[in-house]
Amino acid sequence: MQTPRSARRTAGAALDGKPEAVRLPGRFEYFYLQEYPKVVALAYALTGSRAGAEDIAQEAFLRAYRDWDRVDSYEHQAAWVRRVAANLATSGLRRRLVEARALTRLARRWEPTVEPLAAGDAQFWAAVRALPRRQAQAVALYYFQDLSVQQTAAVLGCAEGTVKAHLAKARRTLARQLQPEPPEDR
Amino acid sequence: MNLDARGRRATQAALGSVTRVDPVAGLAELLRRRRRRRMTRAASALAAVTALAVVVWVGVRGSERVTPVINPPPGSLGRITATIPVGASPVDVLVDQDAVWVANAGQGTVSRVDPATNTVTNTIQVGRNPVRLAAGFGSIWVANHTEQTISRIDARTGQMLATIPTPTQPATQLAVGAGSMWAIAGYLLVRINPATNQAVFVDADWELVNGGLTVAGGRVWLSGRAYPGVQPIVRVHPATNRKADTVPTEAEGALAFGGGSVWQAGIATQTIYRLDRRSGRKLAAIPIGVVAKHLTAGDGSLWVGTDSGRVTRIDMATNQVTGTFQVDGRAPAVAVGHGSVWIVDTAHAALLRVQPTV
Repeated sequence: MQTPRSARRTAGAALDGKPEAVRLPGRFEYFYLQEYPKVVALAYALTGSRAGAEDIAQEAFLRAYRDWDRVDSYEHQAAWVRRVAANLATSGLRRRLVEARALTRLARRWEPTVEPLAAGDAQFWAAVRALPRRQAQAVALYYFQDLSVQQTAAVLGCAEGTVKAHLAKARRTLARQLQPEPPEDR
Repeated sequence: MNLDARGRRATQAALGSVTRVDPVAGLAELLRRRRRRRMTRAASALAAVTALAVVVWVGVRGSERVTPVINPPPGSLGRITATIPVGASPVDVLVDQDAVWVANAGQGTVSRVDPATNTVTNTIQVGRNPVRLAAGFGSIWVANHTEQTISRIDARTGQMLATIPTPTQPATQLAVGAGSMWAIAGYLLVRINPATNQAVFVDADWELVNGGLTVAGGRVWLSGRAYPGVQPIVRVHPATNRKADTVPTEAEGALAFGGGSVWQAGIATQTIYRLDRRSGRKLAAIPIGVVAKHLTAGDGSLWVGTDSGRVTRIDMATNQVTGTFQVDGRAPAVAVGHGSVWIVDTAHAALLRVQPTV
């Protein structure tokens, strides 16, 4: 994540080398604005709900804000909030609550801001969602964070071997279940 | 394609699906949730003294209540005379003397519509996720959110003249005035010299989550949501690029200039505020009953676009709502010109031409 300090340097560099005193937002706010769309995307992938993805992301950031003194001290704040979002997105009760809220919004002709996925990509994430909960989380965080197995293990709070086992099982299941892509996918 | 490649592609697709997600609006929602949570906890803690808790709750809720509004019925604004298909996910529209321009966020293009024939005569590829348009200096300026650039297009030929990066944050608002093109990029005010296309980041000592931008009364006006709460409007002097003053406000949303006044959208209050262009003093507050997304002035009226699909017309002479119009999806932008009102209709990826009721 770009820190306020590095952003200040970037802004300064754009001014023909003359540093400018640019006041930047508080750390949480900055973190939020940088990460929010990515967390919405993760929630969308793991829930399949365009209407509910923002709700999940909101909840994850609300928890980050509530514990910001602690979260801010972490090296990977983004990983923390994504883990929370992944937990929320794969919780059965939470998903039902989100779907109920989404239905209420849709009844008011509210249109989700998240765009639908093409068929092939939607099929991939549907297969991920059908995996056992921890496997689905491991796969999503692995791809979304572009993390190594070691880093994914740190985010999920489990051993590397466990993540490897989750990923291996998930890959086998996905390879078995995913159909060849439709020819007119894109 | 192997599984890994497919997974990475599906991830990129999911990340690309959120280009219309507005983190700033999300931040406002987050603050509302936080307030609600705090209220719930307080009510629980004070369960033993229920009466007091009720008084507190009512007091807090009362301050957030939005006045019920009775507007003219949908359709009173005018009737559709043309539905013009444009690109995927249109989000903004503007009118210049020859054409109507539409930013298609989902396609990374700008459509040029000929008002004489109601057809798209040119589709220009710009950057990813174009979200805002402005006209000035013979050009159409396009804020490309995902790409963090501003495209400059020759309004006459449709040729791309320049691509100007906004390195720290994407530009979300554009305005023309005081001989420059202005943009809000995150927390920075960007000033572009139209002669050279060079951008400078104006020295800022404010903290606004961007809400609106306009140029009026010899000042550049910036509004926005602070964290938390409403922040005064900041006015920047274009001669010095420094903050000239601040103006107290009850609102946090979009800005527009028209009818000799500055207009600001109140998001939490669902009200449009009319401000004196010199002093910034509030002249009128006009409840509209919806959250305004976009304001534009024209034809003696202020036109309000919303994500709820309702377009509202406010007569500048009387400060009264005189017409409304409802589309199926969102109506995030409105423009006026060539004898018509032009409304972005996201549900049908179309531009609606509406003949206004006189």
